[in-house]
Amino acid sequence: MKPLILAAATIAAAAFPSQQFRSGTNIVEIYSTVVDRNGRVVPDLTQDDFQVYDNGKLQKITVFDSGTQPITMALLVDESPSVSEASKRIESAVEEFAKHFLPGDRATIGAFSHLVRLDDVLSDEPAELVPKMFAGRPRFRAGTALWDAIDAGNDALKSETGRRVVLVLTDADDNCSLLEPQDILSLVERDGTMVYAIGVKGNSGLPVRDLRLLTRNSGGYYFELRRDDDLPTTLARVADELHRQYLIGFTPAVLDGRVRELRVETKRAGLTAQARRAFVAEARGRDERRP
Amino acid sequence: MVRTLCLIAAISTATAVIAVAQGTDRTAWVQAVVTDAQGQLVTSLAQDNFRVIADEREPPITVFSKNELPMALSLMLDASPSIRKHRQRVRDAARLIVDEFGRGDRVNIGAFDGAVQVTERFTASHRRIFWSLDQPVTGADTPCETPAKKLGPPALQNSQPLPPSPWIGRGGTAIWDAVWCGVRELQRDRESIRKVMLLVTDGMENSSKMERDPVVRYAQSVGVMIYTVGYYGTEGDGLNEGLLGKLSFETGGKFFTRKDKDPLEPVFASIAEELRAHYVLGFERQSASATGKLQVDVKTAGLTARARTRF
Repeated sequence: MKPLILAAATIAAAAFPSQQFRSGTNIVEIYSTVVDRNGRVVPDLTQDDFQVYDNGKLQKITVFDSGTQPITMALLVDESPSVSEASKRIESAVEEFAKHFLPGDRATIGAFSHLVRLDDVLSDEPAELVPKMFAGRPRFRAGTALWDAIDAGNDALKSETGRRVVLVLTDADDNCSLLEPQDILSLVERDGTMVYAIGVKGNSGLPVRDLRLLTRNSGGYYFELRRDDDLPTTLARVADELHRQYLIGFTPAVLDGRVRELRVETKRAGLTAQARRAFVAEARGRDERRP
Repeated sequence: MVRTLCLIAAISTATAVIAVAQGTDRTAWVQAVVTDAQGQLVTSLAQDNFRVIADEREPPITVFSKNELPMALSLMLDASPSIRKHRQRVRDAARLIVDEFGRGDRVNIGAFDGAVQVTERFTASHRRIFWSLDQPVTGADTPCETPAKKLGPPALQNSQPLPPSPWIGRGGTAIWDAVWCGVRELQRDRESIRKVMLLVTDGMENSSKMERDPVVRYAQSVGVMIYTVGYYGTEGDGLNEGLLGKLSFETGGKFFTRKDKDPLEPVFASIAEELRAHYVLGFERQSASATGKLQVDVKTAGLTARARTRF
């Protein structure tokens, strides 16, 4: 999570009771999803239910919001040959997911094979981008650059404040990224971007080890879409989770520019808090985001 | 502002074109290199300049590409003690090819003596590639089992400098096993249409379990264009010049020889230039399993096309 030197919490005009967060001091923002033993999202916790640890040391929570949060997202769809057998399913998934954007959500939608296609301007009407994305498919697609695609998504969100999410639909069978999984892990640690992934089994299996690690460490989640899964229900759950995260903030005692371990727990038995597992402890102002 | 990242391919919105461009299960893909009478590469031809003769038929060319398709490359390096002294030179020369990689180009690095190892996956990460080339046996950490040879130990993780290989280092030169393993890795990369192998060796074949003819047929059926670089004078037994040259000819590649002290860079630079000059032609076979003789002609007088001799 990146600490931000900001002025004050502000409220943006949108359709959400809880608006895009603008923090005030060197606050580390954490977006956390809490689930019960059955994997159901638990939306009714209070600040007192959470504990946050910075390198193992309990921190005082200074910011808390349990209201519905708008999504700021880069959605990237695998269009490589290895998912060709699942392409109709992926198209349906994207179209279905787009229905779950709410007023106030902003997103860009792109696709990747060995090439990454992504518009870096976020739209207030993300659903309108879906047909454009499908229509722009390159003539030849001959590889899967998954890590480069996530990097492009992270890059497209660099000027955004608050919660930033990269969501990929993929078979995870990367074979031609210039970047490696650990590069992406470092980038999302630095930028505080949450990575979500929906795995769709392609022609050659679903090698998801690195993708699982990335999503978990970034505070996101990996969902695997099975052939007999009910698509609308699964995607509704993803969208619901994204909208119903807790915002928790604390002010770190040390800003040494290093990667620090982050742990979020709930005091209630049987509940699990998903959140990013590391942040870079550096002071940075709102206008000093990386170029 | 719309920023389209790394978009080098032509855009088409026609579904039919996409389907054809990606091919069907009957599509045979052929890589071809065209030279003039002086041996200079010719890169300005169009689809109409080519003619394919497949098993005495002349099927229409349904897909044509020039500089659009990424390449999957198997870099298969002899790891015998005699050639290890040239490792730095091979690495420096390999950089000439990797530095010219286009978007989506990727490599699997293999090493062989009497045994063969490959890397677990293809990669386009230059950092990973040069790390691999720096390792004692090129970072190839996964033993390759040919159908005729079983190896037991599991793969090593290659995130740290590798210990001495438990497989390689026992001597021998298994060229056909190495070719088979490289072709298999290229076949496993089901997303690539352009499949190329670069084999560097200084030895005489003496320990393969696989035989030559089935290995060449396998390479031809997968559509792998094989470049070979043979080093003279480092190994007392000499070099299988005839066999290596024939291997390259039959797969549409090219064979180069070097003397012990000769620099490798000109050869690798020449190969890198050729790799950028590949044409890719697609035609429909009569069935998904059809095979046969293949000939690619250029209709312009004085020009010659090189391609695999069977599909």
